[in-house]
Amino acid sequence: MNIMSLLPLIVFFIIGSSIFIAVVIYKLIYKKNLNKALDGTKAISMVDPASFIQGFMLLVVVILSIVSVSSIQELKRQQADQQVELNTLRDKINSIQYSVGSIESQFSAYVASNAWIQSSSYLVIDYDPLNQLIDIQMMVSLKELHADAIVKIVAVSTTDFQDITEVVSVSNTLNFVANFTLNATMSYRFEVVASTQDELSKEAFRTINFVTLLQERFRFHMGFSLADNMETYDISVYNHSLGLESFQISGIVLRLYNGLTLIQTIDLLPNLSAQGNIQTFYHGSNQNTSTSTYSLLGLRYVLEVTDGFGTTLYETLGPSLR
Amino acid sequence: MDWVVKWLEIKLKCRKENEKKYKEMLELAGFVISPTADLTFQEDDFIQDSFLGKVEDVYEIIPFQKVVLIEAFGHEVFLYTLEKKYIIKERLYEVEGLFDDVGYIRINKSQIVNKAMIKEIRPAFNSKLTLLLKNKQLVDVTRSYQVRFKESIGL
Repeated sequence: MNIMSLLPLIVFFIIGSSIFIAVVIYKLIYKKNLNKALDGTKAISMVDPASFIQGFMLLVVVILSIVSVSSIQELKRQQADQQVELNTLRDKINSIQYSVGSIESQFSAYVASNAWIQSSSYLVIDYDPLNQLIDIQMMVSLKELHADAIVKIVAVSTTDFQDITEVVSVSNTLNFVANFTLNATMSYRFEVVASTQDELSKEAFRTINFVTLLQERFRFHMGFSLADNMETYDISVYNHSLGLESFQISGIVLRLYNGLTLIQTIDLLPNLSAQGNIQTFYHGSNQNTSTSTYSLLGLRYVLEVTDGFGTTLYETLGPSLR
Repeated sequence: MDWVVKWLEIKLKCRKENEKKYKEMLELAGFVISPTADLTFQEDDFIQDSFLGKVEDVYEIIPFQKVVLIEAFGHEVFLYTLEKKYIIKERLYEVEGLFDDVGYIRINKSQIVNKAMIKEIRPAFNSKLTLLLKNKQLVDVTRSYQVRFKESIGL
């Protein structure tokens, strides 16, 4: 146990003992004085021990209060000093952070200026959902290249680092293209390797996780609300074809079931709008709960999406059935 | 009339040299001198210096110097000496008035002590004083009598 943690207890004990000893001594003196007076000896007038205790305690309380107040003032002064030091430290940290940021930006600029690859892009050519294979075309623009260099674009699986595909790309310019057939359930890092007889240069330029890419290609959201006897549902869909025609939505139907009974079928294709590779739509509906025979919030919603690879069903429940 | 005179008892408080004279006068007037009478005949400049105390149906004269404590209990007033306990006729307020000049001090509503018979004063933390008397009795000086008590012992 730390001695400092016992300090208040020790101080309390010392003060308590001092008060006790002082009171006992006073009582003895008082008694002696009284008995001296009884014997006829000249004695002084003293207050009785109870009054003495009260007075003495009052004095102790006043002294402790003064000590406490002065301690608090001292602590406040120390706190103010520490606050000043803290502010100074914060200023220094800010200054250092600014310096680090400056160095980082300089370093980034240095790395960018020394980057070998100017730009890169990719295009999904085909997708085989049965074998989970994806055909992809990688395009890379280099800043400079040795005239004798042989350029290879390499796809390295970051899932298991076993699947490595190298494609030699030949070009008269600094733009190189390579086609890959890769496993759609893996993630790949793409690198450019340029080799001459004396030198080998290598730089990674892009990583693509095909699982994420395919998962996030199609997204849909359903929302429900209930207010003032009016219940509402709305549905929004986002689809990215990744440049592949088969990924484009060719049909989309929403079916509403009450239990096992089909209530309504809504063709949402007319709502679909396309911009480049991206297709989106929004559909919303509401009904008055006091007049309807069923609740929109208690239905089962089945979204049937058709693209070049066939039909996919997305199903969700109204909030009261979840 | 004889039966009325027969019962008219009187107590005589006077100096020794006048005692015989007053006794004859009072007996002539039909009084019977009795130390236990309720009626008192007292000389103007008489100073009482003793008590008449009863112990086991015997009356004894107790000089005031021998008294330790006088205490009222119920309708009786008791007088304590170092050896004995007596019943006296005087009321407590009478004793207080008669003997405060010779060191008798009222210490509470029911007790008077002889200052000369206090062995020790013991102060307590509750503002009371406890007196140890020479007959080993302990008595309390209550708060309301403390100032007078202290004045009496010279504080």
